[in-house]
Amino acid sequence: MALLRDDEIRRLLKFLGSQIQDSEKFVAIEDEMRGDFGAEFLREPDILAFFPAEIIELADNEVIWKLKVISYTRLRMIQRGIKLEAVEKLFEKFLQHCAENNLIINVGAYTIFGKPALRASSITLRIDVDEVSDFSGKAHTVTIFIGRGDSFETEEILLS
Amino acid sequence: MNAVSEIMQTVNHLSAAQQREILARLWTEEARRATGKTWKTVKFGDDLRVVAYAPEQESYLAELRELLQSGTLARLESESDGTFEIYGVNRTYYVTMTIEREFVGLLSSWMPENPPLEINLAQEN
Repeated sequence: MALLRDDEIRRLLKFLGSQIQDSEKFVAIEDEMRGDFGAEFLREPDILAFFPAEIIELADNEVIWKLKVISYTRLRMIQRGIKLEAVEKLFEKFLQHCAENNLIINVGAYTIFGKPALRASSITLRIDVDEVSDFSGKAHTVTIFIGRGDSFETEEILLS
Repeated sequence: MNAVSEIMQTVNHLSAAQQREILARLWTEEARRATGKTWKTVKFGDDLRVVAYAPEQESYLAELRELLQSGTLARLESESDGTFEIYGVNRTYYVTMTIEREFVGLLSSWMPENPPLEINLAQEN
């Protein structure tokens, strides 16, 4: 049993107001969110239908990165007030870090901990690099998840 | 074959008592390093619901279901999000899970020898 915070519920309902026309459905979802099992409700697939997936495209030299923000991630971002621009900014910092440290980005999972801007809150991005190609014109695709700061305490790479 | 697979193959040939000797020492080290992290064993019944939240993960649903129904070790990442890492023999799964509702949403997975590379950008602003 886990309760959602008021600010989280407010953000989610504001977004859902633009997605759900059926007022009975909206009230039913609000009741679930405000209930004793609000946090558990957000993990289930039914609610995700109202959070459309997004693709962020960003160019890095000759490479196009396609960041797939799946419905589950979209929900978590709205819940916490994390904007798509913040994810894009942090990913750009990740690319910059890899370039500066000669790290080659391969297919696989990464956990990235950092702030998209100086005064912004920290975000933990868990990403799956699904496809990487060295040929320009073929996009690199990445699935984005939002973690919860775990990497800060379990870091394996120390950066100077 | 890489280091993790080789070690697992070797350990699997040891007796149960020898495996306990190794596990106990690794476990102590992990507990010291990851203070406050919750590890638990999970085992689900026939009512288990497993879905993939990323299309790339759909091909792993059957083996994840089998693993969860036979019982396995899980490490809690976030209590409020219900996110766990679940450790199978040949694959680790990152999921959002409600044990009481027998529900698991699969987000990501990887081979044990290729765990997520962790990058800390906190000092680079």
